[in-house]
Amino acid sequence: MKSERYPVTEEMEEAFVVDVDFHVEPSMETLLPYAENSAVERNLKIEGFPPTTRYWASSYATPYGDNGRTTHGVAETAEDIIDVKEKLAVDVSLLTPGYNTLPDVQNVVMKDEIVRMYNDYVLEEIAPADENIKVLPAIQQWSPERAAEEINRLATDDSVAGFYGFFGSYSLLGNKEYDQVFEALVEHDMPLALHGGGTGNWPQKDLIGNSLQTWSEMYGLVHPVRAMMMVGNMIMNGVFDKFPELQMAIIEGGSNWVPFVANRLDEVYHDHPEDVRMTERLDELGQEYLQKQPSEYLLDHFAFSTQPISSPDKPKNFAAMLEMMNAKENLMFATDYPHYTLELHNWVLESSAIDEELQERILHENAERVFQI
Amino acid sequence: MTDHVVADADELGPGEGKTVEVDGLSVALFNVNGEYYATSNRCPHKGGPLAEGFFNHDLPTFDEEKCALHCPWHYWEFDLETGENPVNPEGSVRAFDVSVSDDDVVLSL
Repeated sequence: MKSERYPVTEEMEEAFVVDVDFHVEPSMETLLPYAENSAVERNLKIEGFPPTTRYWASSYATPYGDNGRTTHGVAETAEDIIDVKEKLAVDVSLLTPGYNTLPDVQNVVMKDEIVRMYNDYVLEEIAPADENIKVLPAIQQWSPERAAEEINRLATDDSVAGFYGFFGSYSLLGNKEYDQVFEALVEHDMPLALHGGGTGNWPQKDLIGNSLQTWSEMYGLVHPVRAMMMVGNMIMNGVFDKFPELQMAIIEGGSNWVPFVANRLDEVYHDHPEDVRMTERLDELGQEYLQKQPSEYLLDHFAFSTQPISSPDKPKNFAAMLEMMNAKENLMFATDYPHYTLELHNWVLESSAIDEELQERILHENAERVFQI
Repeated sequence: MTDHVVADADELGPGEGKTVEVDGLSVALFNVNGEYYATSNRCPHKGGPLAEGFFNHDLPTFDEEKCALHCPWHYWEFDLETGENPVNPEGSVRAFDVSVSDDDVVLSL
Protein backbone atom coordinates (compact mmCIF):
# COMPACT_ATOMS: atom_id res chain seq x y z
CA MET A 1 0.00 0.00 0.00
CA LYS A 2 1.31 3.45 -0.92
CA SER A 3 1.89 6.03 1.74
CA GLU A 4 1.85 9.82 1.52
CA ARG A 5 4.75 9.76 3.92
CA TYR A 6 6.96 8.16 1.27
CA PRO A 7 6.38 9.94 -2.05
CA VAL A 8 7.48 7.17 -4.37
CA THR A 9 7.53 8.05 -8.07
CA GLU A 10 6.88 5.67 -10.94
CA GLU A 11 10.59 5.66 -11.70
CA MET A 12 11.34 4.70 -8.10
CA GLU A 13 8.77 1.89 -8.29
CA GLU A 14 10.29 0.56 -11.47
CA ALA A 15 13.86 0.47 -10.18
CA PHE A 16 15.00 -2.77 -8.62
CA VAL A 17 16.26 -1.90 -5.17
CA VAL A 18 18.13 -3.79 -2.48
CA ASP A 19 18.19 -2.11 0.94
CA VAL A 20 21.18 -3.25 3.00
CA ASP A 21 20.10 -1.67 6.30
CA PHE A 22 16.54 -2.39 7.42
CA HIS A 23 16.57 -2.48 11.21
CA VAL A 24 14.44 -4.96 13.08
CA GLU A 25 14.31 -4.45 16.81
CA PRO A 26 11.80 -6.87 18.32
CA SER A 27 10.74 -6.20 21.89
CA MET A 28 12.10 -8.56 24.51
CA GLU A 29 8.54 -9.79 25.00
CA THR A 30 8.46 -10.88 21.37
CA LEU A 31 11.72 -12.79 21.79
CA LEU A 32 10.78 -14.49 25.07
CA PRO A 33 9.44 -17.69 23.46
CA TYR A 34 12.96 -18.25 22.18
CA ALA A 35 14.62 -18.00 25.61
CA GLU A 36 16.52 -21.08 26.72
CA ASN A 37 18.30 -19.65 29.75
CA SER A 38 15.75 -19.40 32.57
CA ALA A 39 17.73 -16.76 34.48
CA VAL A 40 17.86 -14.52 31.42
CA GLU A 41 14.18 -15.18 30.74
CA ARG A 42 13.33 -14.14 34.29
CA ASN A 43 15.27 -10.90 34.00
CA LEU A 44 13.90 -10.02 30.60
CA LYS A 45 10.37 -10.52 31.93
CA ILE A 46 11.06 -8.24 34.87
CA GLU A 47 13.12 -5.57 33.24
CA GLY A 48 12.87 -5.84 29.45
CA PHE A 49 16.01 -4.88 27.57
CA PRO A 50 18.95 -5.08 29.98
CA PRO A 51 20.46 -1.92 31.46
CA THR A 52 23.22 -0.06 29.68
CA THR A 53 25.00 3.21 29.89
CA ARG A 54 22.34 5.63 28.71
CA TYR A 55 22.50 5.95 24.95
CA TRP A 56 22.83 9.35 23.35
CA ALA A 57 19.97 9.99 21.00
CA SER A 58 18.79 12.88 18.89
CA SER A 59 16.10 13.99 21.36
CA TYR A 60 18.12 16.98 22.56
CA ALA A 61 18.52 18.24 19.06
CA THR A 62 15.11 17.81 17.46
CA PRO A 63 12.02 19.95 17.80
CA TYR A 64 9.95 16.83 18.23
CA GLY A 65 12.03 15.53 21.12
CA ASP A 66 12.00 12.13 19.46
CA ASN A 67 14.97 9.86 20.02
CA GLY A 68 14.78 9.06 16.33
CA ARG A 69 14.92 5.30 16.52
CA THR A 70 11.25 4.62 15.82
CA THR A 71 10.40 7.72 13.82
CA HIS A 72 9.15 5.64 10.92
CA GLY A 73 7.52 2.94 13.00
CA VAL A 74 8.38 -0.44 14.43
CA ALA A 75 8.51 -3.45 12.14
CA GLU A 76 8.88 -6.70 14.00
CA THR A 77 6.75 -9.20 12.10
CA ALA A 78 7.05 -10.49 8.55
CA GLU A 79 3.78 -8.72 7.68
CA ASP A 80 5.11 -5.41 9.01
CA ILE A 81 8.28 -5.75 6.99
CA ILE A 82 6.57 -6.71 3.74
CA ASP A 83 4.23 -3.73 4.15
CA VAL A 84 7.09 -1.30 4.74
CA LYS A 85 9.15 -2.70 1.86
CA GLU A 86 6.26 -1.95 -0.43
CA LYS A 87 5.83 1.58 0.90
CA LEU A 88 9.52 2.34 0.46
CA ALA A 89 9.56 0.73 -3.02
CA VAL A 90 12.29 -1.64 -1.93
CA ASP A 91 12.47 -5.08 -3.53
CA VAL A 92 14.93 -6.90 -1.28
CA SER A 93 15.56 -6.00 2.36
CA LEU A 94 18.54 -7.09 4.40
CA LEU A 95 17.37 -7.22 8.00
CA THR A 96 19.87 -5.81 10.46
CA PRO A 97 19.52 -6.03 14.25
CA GLY A 98 18.31 -2.75 15.67
CA TYR A 99 19.92 -3.24 19.06
CA ASN A 100 22.56 -0.55 18.72
CA THR A 101 22.88 -0.38 22.50
CA LEU A 102 23.60 -4.08 22.85
CA PRO A 103 27.37 -3.58 22.93
CA ASP A 104 26.92 -1.56 26.13
CA VAL A 105 25.13 -4.29 28.04
CA GLN A 106 27.49 -5.36 30.78
CA ASN A 107 26.08 -8.81 31.43
CA VAL A 108 27.57 -11.15 28.85
CA VAL A 109 25.13 -14.00 29.54
CA MET A 110 22.24 -11.65 28.84
CA LYS A 111 23.58 -10.32 25.59
CA ASP A 112 24.70 -13.73 24.37
CA GLU A 113 21.16 -14.96 24.87
CA ILE A 114 19.60 -11.90 23.21
CA VAL A 115 21.76 -12.44 20.13
CA ARG A 116 20.72 -16.09 19.86
CA MET A 117 17.04 -15.32 20.54
CA TYR A 118 17.01 -12.51 17.98
CA ASN A 119 18.71 -14.64 15.32
CA ASP A 120 16.37 -17.58 15.86
CA TYR A 121 13.30 -15.35 15.92
CA VAL A 122 14.17 -13.56 12.67
CA LEU A 123 15.20 -16.72 10.84
CA GLU A 124 12.23 -18.76 12.00
CA GLU A 125 9.42 -16.20 12.15
CA ILE A 126 10.25 -13.59 9.53
CA ALA A 127 12.58 -14.76 6.77
CA PRO A 128 10.49 -17.76 5.61
CA ALA A 129 7.60 -15.43 4.75
CA ASP A 130 9.32 -13.76 1.80
CA GLU A 131 12.27 -14.89 -0.31
CA ASN A 132 13.18 -11.23 -0.75
CA ILE A 133 13.88 -10.83 2.92
CA LYS A 134 17.49 -11.64 3.75
CA VAL A 135 19.06 -11.68 7.18
CA LEU A 136 22.32 -10.48 8.67
CA PRO A 137 22.33 -12.30 12.02
CA ALA A 138 24.06 -10.67 14.95
CA ILE A 139 27.34 -12.05 16.26
CA GLN A 140 28.64 -12.03 19.82
CA GLN A 141 31.46 -9.66 18.99
CA TRP A 142 32.53 -9.52 22.65
CA SER A 143 33.47 -13.19 22.40
CA PRO A 144 35.26 -14.17 19.16
CA GLU A 145 34.89 -17.84 20.03
CA ARG A 146 31.11 -17.64 20.42
CA ALA A 147 30.83 -15.36 17.40
CA ALA A 148 32.56 -18.02 15.28
CA GLU A 149 30.22 -20.66 16.69
CA GLU A 150 27.19 -18.54 15.79
CA ILE A 151 28.48 -18.10 12.24
CA ASN A 152 28.98 -21.86 11.91
CA ARG A 153 25.53 -22.50 13.35
CA LEU A 154 23.63 -20.21 10.97
CA ALA A 155 25.67 -19.69 7.81
CA THR A 156 24.01 -22.49 5.87
CA ASP A 157 20.52 -21.05 6.31
CA ASP A 158 19.38 -19.88 2.86
CA SER A 159 18.11 -16.57 4.25
CA VAL A 160 21.47 -15.62 5.76
CA ALA A 161 23.36 -13.21 3.50
CA GLY A 162 26.17 -12.29 5.89
CA PHE A 163 26.70 -11.43 9.55
CA TYR A 164 26.40 -8.24 11.56
CA GLY A 165 28.68 -6.62 14.09
CA PHE A 166 29.70 -3.13 15.15
CA PHE A 167 32.55 -0.78 14.37
CA GLY A 168 32.35 0.60 17.88
CA SER A 169 32.79 -0.49 21.47
CA TYR A 170 35.06 -3.53 21.14
CA SER A 171 38.66 -4.25 20.31
CA LEU A 172 39.27 -3.36 16.71
CA LEU A 173 39.04 -6.35 14.41
CA GLY A 174 42.69 -6.18 13.44
CA ASN A 175 43.24 -7.87 16.80
CA LYS A 176 44.44 -11.39 16.15
CA GLU A 177 41.86 -12.99 18.44
CA TYR A 178 39.28 -12.33 15.71
CA ASP A 179 40.99 -14.69 13.27
CA GLN A 180 38.59 -17.44 14.32
CA VAL A 181 35.68 -15.20 13.28
CA PHE A 182 37.26 -14.51 9.89
CA GLU A 183 38.02 -18.22 9.40
CA ALA A 184 34.35 -19.05 9.96
CA LEU A 185 33.21 -16.28 7.61
CA VAL A 186 35.60 -17.29 4.84
CA GLU A 187 34.79 -20.96 5.26
CA HIS A 188 31.14 -20.19 4.61
CA ASP A 189 31.84 -17.46 2.04
CA MET A 190 29.99 -14.91 4.16
CA PRO A 191 30.64 -11.16 4.39
CA LEU A 192 30.73 -9.31 7.70
CA ALA A 193 28.77 -6.08 7.96
CA LEU A 194 29.71 -3.58 10.64
CA HIS A 195 27.36 -0.87 11.90
CA GLY A 196 27.73 1.96 14.37
CA GLY A 197 26.57 1.41 17.91
CA GLY A 198 27.45 1.15 21.51
CA THR A 199 28.70 3.33 24.31
CA GLY A 200 26.35 5.92 23.02
CA ASN A 201 28.27 6.56 20.85
CA TRP A 202 31.71 7.55 22.20
CA PRO A 203 32.73 6.49 25.70
CA GLN A 204 32.28 9.38 28.07
CA LYS A 205 35.28 8.27 30.06
CA ASP A 206 37.84 9.77 27.77
CA LEU A 207 38.55 13.39 27.10
CA ILE A 208 36.96 13.41 23.67
CA GLY A 209 33.78 11.65 24.80
CA ASN A 210 33.43 13.88 27.83
CA SER A 211 33.76 16.98 25.66
CA LEU A 212 31.00 16.09 23.23
CA GLN A 213 27.95 18.29 23.76
CA THR A 214 25.97 18.11 20.54
CA TRP A 215 24.26 15.47 18.47
CA SER A 216 25.91 16.92 15.37
CA GLU A 217 29.28 15.80 16.69
CA MET A 218 28.03 12.63 18.30
CA TYR A 219 26.13 11.21 15.38
CA GLY A 220 27.68 13.17 12.53
CA LEU A 221 31.30 12.41 13.32
CA VAL A 222 31.57 9.49 15.71
CA HIS A 223 30.29 6.82 13.31
CA PRO A 224 32.65 7.79 10.46
CA VAL A 225 35.63 8.22 12.80
CA ARG A 226 35.07 4.80 14.31
CA ALA A 227 34.56 3.26 10.88
CA MET A 228 37.82 4.80 9.68
CA MET A 229 39.72 3.45 12.66
CA MET A 230 38.25 -0.02 12.17
CA VAL A 231 39.10 -0.12 8.48
CA GLY A 232 42.64 1.14 9.02
CA ASN A 233 43.26 -1.29 11.86
CA MET A 234 42.14 -4.32 9.87
CA ILE A 235 44.23 -3.32 6.87
CA MET A 236 47.44 -2.47 8.72
CA ASN A 237 47.25 -5.60 10.86
CA GLY A 238 47.25 -7.83 7.79
CA VAL A 239 43.73 -9.25 8.09
CA PHE A 240 43.38 -9.35 4.31
CA ASP A 241 46.80 -10.90 3.73
CA LYS A 242 45.73 -13.80 5.90
CA PHE A 243 42.12 -13.82 4.63
CA PRO A 244 42.26 -12.63 1.02
CA GLU A 245 38.68 -13.79 0.44
CA LEU A 246 37.18 -11.82 3.32
CA GLN A 247 34.53 -9.28 2.31
CA MET A 248 33.44 -6.47 4.65
CA ALA A 249 30.54 -4.02 4.52
CA ILE A 250 30.52 -0.75 6.46
CA ILE A 251 26.97 0.33 7.24
CA GLU A 252 26.05 3.87 8.30
CA GLY A 253 29.70 4.80 8.65
CA GLY A 254 29.61 7.22 5.74
CA SER A 255 31.74 6.94 2.63
CA ASN A 256 32.98 10.44 1.74
CA TRP A 257 36.12 9.68 3.74
CA VAL A 258 37.16 6.69 1.65
CA PRO A 259 39.35 8.66 -0.82
CA PHE A 260 41.09 10.43 2.05
CA VAL A 261 41.80 7.28 4.03
CA ALA A 262 43.01 5.46 0.92
CA ASN A 263 45.53 8.19 0.12
CA ARG A 264 46.52 8.89 3.69
CA LEU A 265 47.17 5.28 4.67
CA ASP A 266 49.25 4.75 1.52
CA GLU A 267 51.27 7.88 2.12
CA VAL A 268 52.05 7.21 5.76
CA TYR A 269 52.75 3.54 5.11
CA HIS A 270 55.18 4.47 2.33
CA ASP A 271 56.96 6.86 4.66
CA HIS A 272 57.00 4.47 7.62
CA PRO A 273 56.58 0.83 6.57
CA GLU A 274 58.74 -0.82 9.20
CA ASP A 275 56.29 -1.32 12.02
CA VAL A 276 53.78 -3.56 10.24
CA ARG A 277 56.15 -6.49 10.83
CA MET A 278 55.55 -6.01 14.56
CA THR A 279 51.85 -6.68 14.25
CA GLU A 280 51.00 -10.16 15.48
CA ARG A 281 49.42 -11.42 12.31
CA LEU A 282 52.16 -10.27 9.94
CA ASP A 283 54.79 -11.50 12.38
CA GLU A 284 53.14 -14.90 12.31
CA LEU A 285 52.95 -14.81 8.52
CA GLY A 286 56.62 -13.83 8.40
CA GLN A 287 55.88 -10.82 6.21
CA GLU A 288 58.09 -7.79 6.12
CA TYR A 289 55.54 -5.67 4.32
CA LEU A 290 51.88 -5.81 3.40
CA GLN A 291 51.29 -7.68 0.17
CA LYS A 292 49.38 -4.77 -1.35
CA GLN A 293 49.02 -1.06 -0.82
CA PRO A 294 46.60 -0.08 1.98
CA SER A 295 44.32 1.64 -0.54
CA GLU A 296 44.02 -1.58 -2.52
CA TYR A 297 42.71 -3.46 0.50
CA LEU A 298 40.29 -0.66 1.25
CA LEU A 299 38.85 -0.66 -2.24
CA ASP A 300 38.99 -4.44 -2.74
CA HIS A 301 37.58 -5.69 0.56
CA PHE A 302 35.16 -3.04 1.78
CA ALA A 303 31.76 -1.98 0.52
CA PHE A 304 29.81 0.93 2.01
CA SER A 305 26.15 1.67 2.57
CA THR A 306 24.82 4.88 1.06
CA GLN A 307 23.00 6.11 4.13
CA PRO A 308 24.20 8.65 5.16
CA ILE A 309 25.23 9.90 1.73
CA SER A 310 26.55 13.40 2.34
CA SER A 311 26.55 14.39 -1.30
CA PRO A 312 28.43 17.53 -2.30
CA ASP A 313 26.13 20.22 -3.76
CA LYS A 314 27.93 20.42 -7.10
CA PRO A 315 27.27 17.35 -9.28
CA LYS A 316 30.82 17.41 -10.66
CA ASN A 317 32.19 17.17 -7.12
CA PHE A 318 29.76 14.39 -6.28
CA ALA A 319 30.77 12.53 -9.45
CA ALA A 320 34.45 12.89 -8.54
CA MET A 321 33.80 11.62 -5.02
CA LEU A 322 31.92 8.61 -6.32
CA GLU A 323 34.69 7.81 -8.74
CA MET A 324 37.45 8.21 -6.13
CA MET A 325 35.69 5.88 -3.71
CA ASN A 326 35.03 3.36 -6.50
CA ALA A 327 31.27 3.58 -6.01
CA LYS A 328 30.85 1.50 -9.14
CA GLU A 329 32.00 -1.49 -7.11
CA ASN A 330 31.53 -0.51 -3.49
CA LEU A 331 28.48 1.63 -2.84
CA MET A 332 25.23 -0.07 -1.79
CA PHE A 333 21.88 1.58 -1.20
CA ALA A 334 20.44 1.63 2.34
CA THR A 335 17.37 3.20 3.94
CA ASP A 336 18.20 2.86 7.67
CA TYR A 337 14.49 2.22 8.31
CA PRO A 338 12.92 2.99 10.80
CA HIS A 339 15.37 5.53 12.14
CA TYR A 340 14.81 9.25 11.57
CA THR A 341 17.86 9.26 9.33
CA LEU A 342 15.89 7.31 6.71
CA GLU A 343 16.67 7.88 3.05
CA LEU A 344 14.79 6.68 -0.03
CA HIS A 345 16.42 6.06 -3.41
CA ASN A 346 15.09 9.20 -5.11
CA TRP A 347 18.55 10.82 -4.99
CA VAL A 348 20.16 7.93 -6.86
CA LEU A 349 17.74 8.39 -9.74
CA GLU A 350 17.74 12.20 -9.71
CA SER A 351 21.42 13.10 -9.42
CA SER A 352 23.11 14.09 -12.66
CA ALA A 353 26.34 12.71 -11.16
CA ILE A 354 24.99 9.17 -11.45
CA ASP A 355 24.48 7.57 -14.86
CA GLU A 356 22.21 4.58 -15.49
CA GLU A 357 24.99 2.03 -15.11
CA LEU A 358 26.01 3.46 -11.75
CA GLN A 359 22.36 3.61 -10.64
CA GLU A 360 22.06 -0.12 -11.18
CA ARG A 361 25.29 -0.77 -9.33
CA ILE A 362 24.26 1.33 -6.32
CA LEU A 363 20.64 0.24 -6.18
CA HIS A 364 21.19 -3.50 -6.35
CA GLU A 365 24.15 -4.95 -8.25
CA ASN A 366 26.86 -4.16 -5.70
CA ALA A 367 24.77 -5.53 -2.84
CA GLU A 368 23.93 -8.62 -4.87
CA ARG A 369 27.63 -9.28 -5.36
CA VAL A 370 28.72 -8.51 -1.79
CA PHE A 371 25.92 -10.48 -0.12
CA GLN A 372 25.55 -13.04 -2.91
CA ILE A 373 21.81 -12.58 -3.26
CA MET B 1 -1.01 35.02 -10.76
CA THR B 2 -3.90 32.58 -11.03
CA ASP B 3 -6.27 31.49 -8.30
CA HIS B 4 -6.89 27.79 -7.81
CA VAL B 5 -9.48 26.21 -5.57
CA VAL B 6 -7.55 23.50 -3.78
CA ALA B 7 -9.87 22.36 -0.99
CA ASP B 8 -13.17 22.88 0.75
CA ALA B 9 -12.81 25.15 3.75
CA ASP B 10 -13.94 22.42 6.13
CA GLU B 11 -11.81 19.73 4.57
CA LEU B 12 -8.85 20.13 6.90
CA GLY B 13 -9.21 20.32 10.65
CA PRO B 14 -6.86 22.50 12.72
CA GLY B 15 -3.40 20.95 12.75
CA GLU B 16 -3.97 18.97 9.57
CA GLY B 17 -2.16 19.06 6.26
CA LYS B 18 -2.60 17.50 2.84
CA THR B 19 -0.95 17.34 -0.54
CA VAL B 20 -2.62 19.13 -3.42
CA GLU B 21 -1.53 19.23 -7.06
CA VAL B 22 -1.61 22.65 -8.73
CA ASP B 23 -0.42 23.09 -12.30
CA GLY B 24 1.81 20.05 -11.95
CA LEU B 25 3.26 21.32 -8.69
CA SER B 26 3.00 19.28 -5.52
CA VAL B 27 1.90 21.68 -2.79
CA ALA B 28 1.58 21.12 0.96
CA LEU B 29 -1.57 22.76 2.36
CA PHE B 30 -2.08 23.29 6.10
CA ASN B 31 -4.75 24.45 8.50
CA VAL B 32 -3.03 26.00 11.50
CA ASN B 33 -5.68 26.91 14.05
CA GLY B 34 -8.03 28.04 11.30
CA GLU B 35 -5.41 29.88 9.22
CA TYR B 36 -4.41 28.25 5.93
CA TYR B 37 -0.83 28.07 4.70
CA ALA B 38 0.84 26.43 1.72
CA THR B 39 4.40 25.59 0.78
CA SER B 40 5.98 23.43 -1.87
CA ASN B 41 5.64 19.83 -0.75
CA ARG B 42 9.19 18.64 -1.32
CA CYS B 43 11.82 19.15 1.36
CA PRO B 44 15.02 20.44 -0.28
CA HIS B 45 17.08 18.13 1.92
CA LYS B 46 16.16 14.58 0.88
CA GLY B 47 12.76 15.08 -0.72
CA GLY B 48 10.58 14.38 2.31
CA PRO B 49 6.84 15.20 1.93
CA LEU B 50 6.18 18.39 3.89
CA ALA B 51 2.41 17.85 3.85
CA GLU B 52 3.08 14.95 6.22
CA GLY B 53 5.15 17.18 8.48
CA PHE B 54 4.22 18.63 11.82
CA PHE B 55 3.78 22.12 13.24
CA ASN B 56 5.49 23.30 16.33
CA HIS B 57 2.15 23.73 18.10
CA ASP B 58 2.15 19.94 18.37
CA LEU B 59 5.22 20.22 20.53
CA PRO B 60 5.76 20.79 24.24
CA THR B 61 7.90 23.77 23.25
CA PHE B 62 5.07 25.47 21.33
CA ASP B 63 5.79 29.09 20.50
CA GLU B 64 2.72 30.97 19.26
CA GLU B 65 4.81 33.50 17.38
CA LYS B 66 6.91 30.97 15.62
CA CYS B 67 4.78 29.30 13.03
CA ALA B 68 7.16 26.50 12.16
CA LEU B 69 6.70 23.47 9.98
CA HIS B 70 8.98 20.45 10.34
CA CYS B 71 9.70 17.86 7.66
CA PRO B 72 8.58 14.41 8.85
CA TRP B 73 11.82 12.75 7.73
CA HIS B 74 14.74 14.68 9.23
CA TYR B 75 12.90 17.55 10.95
CA TRP B 76 14.15 20.42 8.80
CA GLU B 77 12.32 23.56 9.88
CA PHE B 78 10.48 26.09 7.71
CA ASP B 79 8.51 29.24 8.46
CA LEU B 80 5.01 28.45 7.22
CA GLU B 81 4.37 32.03 6.12
CA THR B 82 7.56 32.59 4.18
CA GLY B 83 9.02 29.12 3.56
CA GLU B 84 12.31 30.28 5.06
CA ASN B 85 14.58 27.83 6.76
CA PRO B 86 15.91 29.64 9.86
CA VAL B 87 19.00 27.44 10.12
CA ASN B 88 20.04 27.31 6.50
CA PRO B 89 18.55 30.04 4.25
CA GLU B 90 19.71 28.14 1.17
CA GLY B 91 17.49 25.27 2.25
CA SER B 92 14.23 27.24 2.14
CA VAL B 93 11.05 26.29 0.30
CA ARG B 94 8.55 28.28 -1.72
CA ALA B 95 5.49 29.55 0.17
CA PHE B 96 2.20 30.40 -1.53
CA ASP B 97 -0.62 32.82 -0.78
CA VAL B 98 -3.73 31.08 0.47
CA SER B 99 -7.12 32.58 1.26
CA VAL B 100 -10.58 31.34 2.05
CA SER B 101 -13.36 32.55 -0.20
CA ASP B 102 -16.88 31.43 0.63
CA ASP B 103 -16.34 27.75 1.37
CA ASP B 104 -13.26 27.36 -0.79
CA VAL B 105 -9.57 27.38 0.04
CA VAL B 106 -7.91 29.33 -2.76
CA LEU B 107 -4.22 29.19 -3.59
CA SER B 108 -2.62 31.88 -5.74
CA LEU B 109 0.12 30.73 -8.08
